[in-house]
Amino acid sequence: MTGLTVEDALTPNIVAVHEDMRPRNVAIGPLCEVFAVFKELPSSLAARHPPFLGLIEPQRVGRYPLRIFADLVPRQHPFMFERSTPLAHVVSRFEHVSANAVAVLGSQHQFVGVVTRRSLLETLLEHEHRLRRSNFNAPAGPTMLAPELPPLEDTTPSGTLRSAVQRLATEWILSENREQQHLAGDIHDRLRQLLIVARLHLDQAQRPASRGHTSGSLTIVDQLLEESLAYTRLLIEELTPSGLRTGQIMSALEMLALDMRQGKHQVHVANVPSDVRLSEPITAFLYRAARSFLRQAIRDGVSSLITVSMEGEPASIIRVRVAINGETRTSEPEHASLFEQTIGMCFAGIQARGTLLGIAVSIETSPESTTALVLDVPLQGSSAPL
Amino acid sequence: MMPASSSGPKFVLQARIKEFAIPPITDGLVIGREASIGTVALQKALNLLIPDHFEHLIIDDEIIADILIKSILLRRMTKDRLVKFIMGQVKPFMSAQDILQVQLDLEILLTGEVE
Repeated sequence: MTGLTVEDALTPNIVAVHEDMRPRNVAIGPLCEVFAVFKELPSSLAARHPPFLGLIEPQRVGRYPLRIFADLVPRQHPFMFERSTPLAHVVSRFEHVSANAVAVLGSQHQFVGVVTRRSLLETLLEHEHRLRRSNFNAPAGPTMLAPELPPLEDTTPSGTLRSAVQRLATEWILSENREQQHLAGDIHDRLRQLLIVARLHLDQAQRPASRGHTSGSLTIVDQLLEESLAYTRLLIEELTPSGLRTGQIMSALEMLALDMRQGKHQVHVANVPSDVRLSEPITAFLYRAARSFLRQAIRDGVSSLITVSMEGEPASIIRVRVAINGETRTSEPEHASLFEQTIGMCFAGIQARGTLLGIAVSIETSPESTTALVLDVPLQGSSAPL
Repeated sequence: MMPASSSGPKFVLQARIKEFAIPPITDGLVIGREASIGTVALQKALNLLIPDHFEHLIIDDEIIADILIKSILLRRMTKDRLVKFIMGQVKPFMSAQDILQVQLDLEILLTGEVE
């Protein structure tokens, strides 16, 4: 979402305490956000890696002033992240749990620090201010041609053709490379992080010091594995959509609408011409473009209508229009899943791919709060559709 | 004229002397969820005072959080039976702030046929 990792958002307002200490024996500053409890307390946390027992929020300390810190550590282990985890995962975790702090561990499972809701907010705000100060410009859209290719001198018809084929091949390789990078990035950011965190919790559960906390850690591992499986299913569906198995655009769009309706979004298909036949790449592009648009723009309480129509007299264009009636979802990264931000095509991506395939891509908006993605597929001839 | 010694307060001391029982806990402790002293501290104290090993049972309940019980008792009775007994018989008399000492007299009646 921002390129930030959990390590960027560590709070300095943390008090490290020994498990046998009592709160009244600890100097607590007004800024203290969280206590980190250790089995041993060396003079410097960086010097050694003492066994980490858990986090305690100051409110809990105030409630049981006579208890030692070991008795204040919640039974449920704190949620832990590996230091390179993208910050978006912490945002997502805080949305689902009531805790105010999560622990950050290093690759050797050593305690690194704590991210609190406050430190997270401050880091994101600081990042936002920094971007504004540096007059941040959004990166340009995808490069369509490889600038490093040497200019071709051959201007004969066969030479021009060869040049066009070479450009097409280059573009294809670049495009494939970009897709693979997206996929690798997504697997790293999502699946790998889930599995790393699961392993951290599993290791914690296996330690003798965590006696009594094992079931809590195993519950978290179970949740993380369930999340990983759900993500894997989503990834498989994204890479090989069930809607494209028939190869027919209409059944693909019908399946897309059905899929969205199962996700509680009102999406329907209408104005279906009887004899629409398109090639496999065009069908795949239209399906993926419609799906990306719907996933990124639709939200609860609005409806969408996908129409397929022949335009022109005689018909020269097949128009696929995905209209959303009502306010669309904001494009704030926090509201879109990581998956949509990476694998899903954004509008620039849809337009770039459409241009390659000769398909005109545009966005229509109307005062009645209707936003539509319009995809115009030119027909090569009335008797020979694409 | 009052004697000089009667002008100040008079201190009366009473002492009740009793032998400190070791172990101070016979068979176990039932610890409430809101108890001022937690289970880890009690367990550490018991381990220092008493050579007998105590088993720690974690209870998922709104009143009782933990039970510390002599391990030897669990050889004669399963954890499930013990927890069921404490939940049924002891829990009604305690609040979440309490720490109760429990003395368990276990008698096992065996009947069998021998050839």
